[in-house]
Amino acid sequence: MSTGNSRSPDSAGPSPIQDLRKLLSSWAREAGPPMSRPSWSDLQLLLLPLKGSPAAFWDTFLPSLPPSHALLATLVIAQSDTQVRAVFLQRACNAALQTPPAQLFDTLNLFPKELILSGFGPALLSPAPFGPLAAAVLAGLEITIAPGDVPLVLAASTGSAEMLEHLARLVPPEHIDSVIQDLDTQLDTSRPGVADLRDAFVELLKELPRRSLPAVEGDSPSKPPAPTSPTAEPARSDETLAQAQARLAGLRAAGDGNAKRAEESGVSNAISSSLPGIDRNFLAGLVAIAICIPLILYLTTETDQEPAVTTGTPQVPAKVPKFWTDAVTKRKITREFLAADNDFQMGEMFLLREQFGDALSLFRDALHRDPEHVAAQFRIGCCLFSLDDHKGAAQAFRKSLEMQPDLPQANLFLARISVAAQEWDTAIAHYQKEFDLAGDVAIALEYAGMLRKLGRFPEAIKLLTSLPPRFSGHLEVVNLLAQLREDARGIAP
Amino acid sequence: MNRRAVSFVEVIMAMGILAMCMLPVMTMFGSSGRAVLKSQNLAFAIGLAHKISQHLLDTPYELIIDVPLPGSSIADGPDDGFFNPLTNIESTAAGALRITQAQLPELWNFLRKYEFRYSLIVNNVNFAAGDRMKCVGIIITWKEGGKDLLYKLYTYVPDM
Repeated sequence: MSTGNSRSPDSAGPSPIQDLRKLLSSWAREAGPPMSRPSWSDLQLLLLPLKGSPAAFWDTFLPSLPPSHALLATLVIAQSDTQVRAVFLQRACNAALQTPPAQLFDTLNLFPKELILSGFGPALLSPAPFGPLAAAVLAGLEITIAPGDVPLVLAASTGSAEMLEHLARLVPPEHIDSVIQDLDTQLDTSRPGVADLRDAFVELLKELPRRSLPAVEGDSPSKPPAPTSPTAEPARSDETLAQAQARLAGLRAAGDGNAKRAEESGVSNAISSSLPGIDRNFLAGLVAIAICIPLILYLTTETDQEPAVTTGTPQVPAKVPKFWTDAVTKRKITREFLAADNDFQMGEMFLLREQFGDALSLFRDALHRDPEHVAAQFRIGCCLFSLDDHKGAAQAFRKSLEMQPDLPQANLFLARISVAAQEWDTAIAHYQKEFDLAGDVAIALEYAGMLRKLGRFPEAIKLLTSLPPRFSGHLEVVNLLAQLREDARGIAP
Repeated sequence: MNRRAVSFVEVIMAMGILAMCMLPVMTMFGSSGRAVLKSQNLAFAIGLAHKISQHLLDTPYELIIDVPLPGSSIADGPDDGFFNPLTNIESTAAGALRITQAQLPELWNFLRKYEFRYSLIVNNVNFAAGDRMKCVGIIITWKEGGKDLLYKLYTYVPDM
């Protein structure tokens, strides 16, 4: 079978028509619920793109099909698009006339009651054979019309007993009394036969709950389930026949505009009807893409959306936030931290000038404002060391190492303090930690110098030779290594 | 019988799979974009701080005063000698360009978008008679990704 959703019968030749015939006939033969039969989806796919074909095509094609197939085809097309519904439901009425009643109700049961009302409601006002047929179909499917429309329909009816009985069933049971009143006031009983017609109809309405549904001509229709009975809109007093037909169809009158009709059909139909020739699924896919992409972008950008430019708007006076984030260190910066940092920076100036007492005071102020200011804690140790308070300095350096274990130079000062106190093992441990942290040549030289004083030449040589190759030509390193090797030879046996 | 088209459910499922595949890609683009944005703004803030620092060395000592937090806006800011007027390529005062929407719209848009501000924390340090300095903390703040960011630079201005 050929594929494609935008072909027309003119351009595609006989092939699609043959396909349609085969599909309709295979659908009719298949078992199971009609809308679950295997051919149903293919039938829709083949028929829907053809709905825009010229009227001449349908006038030729539909009568060439068996009536039940023609009815099915027209209803499939009519249900998808409100704009083509009126045209195709008229054809459905024509096909229904020729369809055996059992098949007629089987086919009509496939479709929404609103659709049936749209097609057969206006035909209630038509002369025979459409009027009686429409009444029979609607009554058989337990569809009711607006109570206000009943006098109009009755006046247009043929007046046969069967027609009256069907019409009586179109009246919602809870509105029988109001309909009888309307008939008294709205029908022109001065016309010959109208009074008799009204009386007969009123009699039927009163007996209605006790009566069963009469059969459609020649056969008894299978009574369909009717979970909900749609009802047309109420009547208006001064309207034309066309307006009444439109209202009976469940539609608005022609002058009400196309926008309202688009609302009825839903967004999908509105889109597909505005873009004829484009597949509905394709449009749905486009809509899905349009929804998914902004959604993905929104989810991936999270809260880091850039602020919108406030072009032309006056700037709102800024508030001081509770804290900032340091763009370099990512540390939380509060106003207290800024004040502490200010004291610290001033203390640095005094430290450079070797005014250790003033510097110490400022560093202590800084630490008082921000107890987690590591640099201030370290500088307190430096000031105390310079003021020869080695005990206090050692305590300050240890505190700073507790706050930041990899703080540079704290271990170096602790080592110097230990050397001054001649605590050699402690000094070596601190030198080693500092050397491991920094790997600096200056530390290595100081460390090796201490080891030389202790007579631990092989360790000192090992330390200096383990320096990175870039320091192999360092003058002080070369000199110290030479002295260490000479010292080592001097003690050798 | 051949299928003639894909159903709506199939389209939605395909879109879902595509969306799942695209998610890490889009996340990658998003994170690299944020990194670029951060480095761009930090570099800009460093530039602003150094511009202020350079100006301070050329500013009369007594005129170096506090600009308290939350600071002064750089776009549409007052005439401060740092940013307004920003430049003057002509020989008269009429050629002075200020960071306003009318005169420098792109720069103005950028600065307003991230709300760049600056503040100065000035401390007078007296070492001895006639020997004094100003310790100036230059604080640049801006907003980025819903956060208040800060860059600080200290400079020392001696009384010459």
